[in-house]
Amino acid sequence: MRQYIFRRILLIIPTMIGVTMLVSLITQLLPGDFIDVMLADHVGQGEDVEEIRAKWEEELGWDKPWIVQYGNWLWRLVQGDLGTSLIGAFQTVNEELKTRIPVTLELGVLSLIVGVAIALPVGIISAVRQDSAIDYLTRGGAILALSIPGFWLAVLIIRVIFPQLGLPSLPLLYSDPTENLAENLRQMYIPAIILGIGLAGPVMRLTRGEMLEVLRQDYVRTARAKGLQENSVIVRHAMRNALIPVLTLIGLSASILVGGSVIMESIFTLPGMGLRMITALKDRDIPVVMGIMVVIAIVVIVANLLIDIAYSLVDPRIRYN
Amino acid sequence: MSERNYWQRMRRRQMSRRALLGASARAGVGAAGLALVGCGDDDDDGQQAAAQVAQQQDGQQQAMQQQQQQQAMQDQAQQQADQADAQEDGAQQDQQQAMVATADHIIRGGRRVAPFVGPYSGDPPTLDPYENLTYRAQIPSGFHYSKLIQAISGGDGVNPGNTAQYENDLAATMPEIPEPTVFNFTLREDANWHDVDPLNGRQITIADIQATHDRFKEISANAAGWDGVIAQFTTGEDNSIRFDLHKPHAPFLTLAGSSQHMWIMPQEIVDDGTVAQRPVGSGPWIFENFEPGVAINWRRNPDWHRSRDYVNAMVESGAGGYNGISNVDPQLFPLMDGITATMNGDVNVLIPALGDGSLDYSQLSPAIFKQAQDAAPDIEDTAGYVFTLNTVPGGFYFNYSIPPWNDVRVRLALSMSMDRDGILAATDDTGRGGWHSPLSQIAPYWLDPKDLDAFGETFEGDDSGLTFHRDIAKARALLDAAGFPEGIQATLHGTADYGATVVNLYEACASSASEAGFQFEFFFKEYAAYIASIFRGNFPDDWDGESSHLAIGPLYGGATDPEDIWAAVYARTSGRHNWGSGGRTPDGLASVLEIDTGGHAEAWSHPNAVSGGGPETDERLHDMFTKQKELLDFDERLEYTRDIQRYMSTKQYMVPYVAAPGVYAFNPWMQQLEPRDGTLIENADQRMWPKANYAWGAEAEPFFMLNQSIKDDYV
Repeated sequence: MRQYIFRRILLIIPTMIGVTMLVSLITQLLPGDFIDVMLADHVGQGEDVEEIRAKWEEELGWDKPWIVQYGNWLWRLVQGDLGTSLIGAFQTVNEELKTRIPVTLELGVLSLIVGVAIALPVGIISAVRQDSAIDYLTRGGAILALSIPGFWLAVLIIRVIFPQLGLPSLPLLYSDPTENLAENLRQMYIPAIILGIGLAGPVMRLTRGEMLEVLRQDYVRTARAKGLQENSVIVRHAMRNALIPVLTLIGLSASILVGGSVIMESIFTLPGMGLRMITALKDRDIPVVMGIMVVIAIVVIVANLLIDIAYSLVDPRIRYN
Repeated sequence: MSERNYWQRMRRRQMSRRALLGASARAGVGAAGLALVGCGDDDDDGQQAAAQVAQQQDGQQQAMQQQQQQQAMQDQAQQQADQADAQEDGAQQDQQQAMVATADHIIRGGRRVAPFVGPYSGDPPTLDPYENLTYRAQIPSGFHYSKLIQAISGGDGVNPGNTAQYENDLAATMPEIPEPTVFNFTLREDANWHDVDPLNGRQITIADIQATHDRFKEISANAAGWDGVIAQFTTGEDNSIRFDLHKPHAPFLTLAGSSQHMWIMPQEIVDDGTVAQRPVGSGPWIFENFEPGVAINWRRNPDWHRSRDYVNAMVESGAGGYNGISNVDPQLFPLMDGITATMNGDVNVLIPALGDGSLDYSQLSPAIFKQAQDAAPDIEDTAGYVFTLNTVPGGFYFNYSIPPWNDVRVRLALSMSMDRDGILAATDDTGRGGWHSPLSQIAPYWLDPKDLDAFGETFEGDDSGLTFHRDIAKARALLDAAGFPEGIQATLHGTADYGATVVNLYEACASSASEAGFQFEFFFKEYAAYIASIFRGNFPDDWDGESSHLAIGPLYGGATDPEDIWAAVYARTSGRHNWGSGGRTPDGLASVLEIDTGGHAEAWSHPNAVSGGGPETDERLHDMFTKQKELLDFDERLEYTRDIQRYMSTKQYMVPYVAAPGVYAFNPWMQQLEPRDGTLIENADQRMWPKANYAWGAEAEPFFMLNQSIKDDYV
């Protein structure tokens, strides 16, 4: 097991190089860059914009070939330096991420809790009560959850549901949970529910499908024949086995949650990585984009590793050599 | 709400209280006002003032009781007989009460929460205003920096939107002008940098001014225009600042006071190159922090030099109940404790937040004005909306040397195909929008093309005002004469990143033009890519590999003088590729011209280019631009800029679209003072937004009050 984990950790290195190289290459292909953003409105001032651009490019090291730029960035990354933001107050990317990661993580964890809390019981009940009214209802709900875009649901809640119920709008300004947990949760709960609902749809459907399959297995029939209580059959025998693919899906959802947080953080002004990604892309703040991509890649890789490890815990038959 | 008009309701509240204070008002005390504005220091003077106030309050209470008794007796005995006298007394009392009330209404405190700019907000790409000239970098600078002079803002006597009125800021007074090419300023001696590290409230010196100027010249893109006007800039140890111009330049004060020119910076920060990291200025607000995508925060500068000027003006003017009050806190302004500018630009968030009071203020898109009114009915009830003129010129623009756009008939046909009122009806909920001329709506220079009497139907025999009015038959005839009887199909370049409202505007323009035979297909680029190419006049290839050389969009922001627009958008010296400057071709090739450019060798080059199509070869226009800068008589220049607009409308170098107004919604607890006499500005049209432009942080925000007690009533 240790050997397996060690091997997987080693694999992170080439994976990270591949991911970051790809992202770096894509950012090179984007039309326009940070210098264009800075030079907006220089047009019409009688200036030689090309000359200014050349000066900027030299200062930023962009006059060198892409591979050299990437190599320099990678070398700094190895030293733990993700570079400096090109916009605003020129904060280092490390500093920015230090404050942004916890917000995105909090939103992700809350969404995961909401999603799993909805999906697992509903999926199991749907499977156990197959083809009943409740099954049809929950399956319909899952399809709805799958098909409703998060941003649309957010707008619906903010513009229609909240005013209809006479609820105050969500706080515009972020509160740190260590300073004001209640206010923090007041700001987080709606985006967490929206992201959680989006996650719950597929997880619920997979849970139901897996449960249905497991419930038809011989060992479940044997458990029932032994006279075990139905709850015990479902929870101890069926659910444990049915959850393995569900865990995979939840693990893979880590990246979806980070992606979804881009939209939710923008709508609800949550100062996480997603919101920063949007502003960084808009201004072509490539060091920040690269920094965030590194974090996302690490999250996805680690989440997958943890899921693999969790397999062996959930199903003792699985052993890694 | 039981009463229709918020201000009436507020007055009524104040009046009932004022009835009790009537006697004290007669005694000339104005104690409530003093208590609020005379926030004395901890020194003896302050204690003395406080003691005086306490004595005055005691006397006031006694007087109040006496007055109440007297009034009650009088009411009983002479209820009917003295009706006429009572009315007269009432009028006097109202007058005196009003004096107290105007002093009484000043409330300091509160932190205003507002979006950075309206529905399409954007993070400042830098906090260095010299590195980036867009509104995104300039507007934040207006909060923490000062200039030598600034636009006059305010209520009565100040023409809203008039960009030609200036007053001193860091200069001790407005300049002496011994001759038309010399402007002498003196640096004021009572201005200090913000009390933050490393300046710690140090006095601003002439060395700071020189360092700022040198940096401005080195970095700012606007320095080129500056150099074209200013031959020499000198500072003296006697705090003198002298500008020597190459030749008389009518809009010089606009240049010196522009929010896109010389924000004054401290020498230390300039020297260590950390302007973008830690902006330290001398403006009304001290920069606290900026979190990209989230917010910028400022706190009040308790030592703002302009505050003393305004307080003195209040006391000297005698208006607003300040006559004879000697101990008004000289550091009264800014009135708010701080400002939080959220970066959330999502209207779906902003509108409910405005409605429930999470936001104190918001800029609104004119297209969602009605939605906002529905969401925030309290605002509708208070005349809390401010509508501003649209100072951003925009429309269809072209490569003028490329057929068919080099043909004036095609451009005129495009202009005459547009149903400008219809476009406004489709994109502007406010009903206050207007039409752009070749100039944006900068007051007082803009000439309304809709008003044919003022604009003139023709200019020197050619259609001028008429070219803005829809005439499909004539547009078709012009296209026919130009060789396009079947109309013109073209790709219309632009960006969708100015927001949904602007995209709707583009679509309305295209739809409107289709009736005359123009068929446009949109080709949108993401903002950075758009700026990098189309905005500069480099029209990229379309889907089919050919460029249409046609685009739509805004072309200049923050204009305060016609010269800003003439120089940047139309002039031969403009840096735009499509207007004919610099010899920079779209693909970066040198300007090797094999065509007749009318003697302007630097004109833009393209294989299909033909001469004479654009403003770069228009000698008449060039001469007019030159002349208007030299007309020092304001009225004469004003009339001449109008002639330029008339002439340009015969050419339609840019075919302007319409000008929906800026809309600003203020919740009822946001009040504003006229900074010269301390009276509340109740008429939204008199508010200062239109002219403050990018510098509203310094020119408007210090005079906003956040009345927490009113807010508590609402929220």
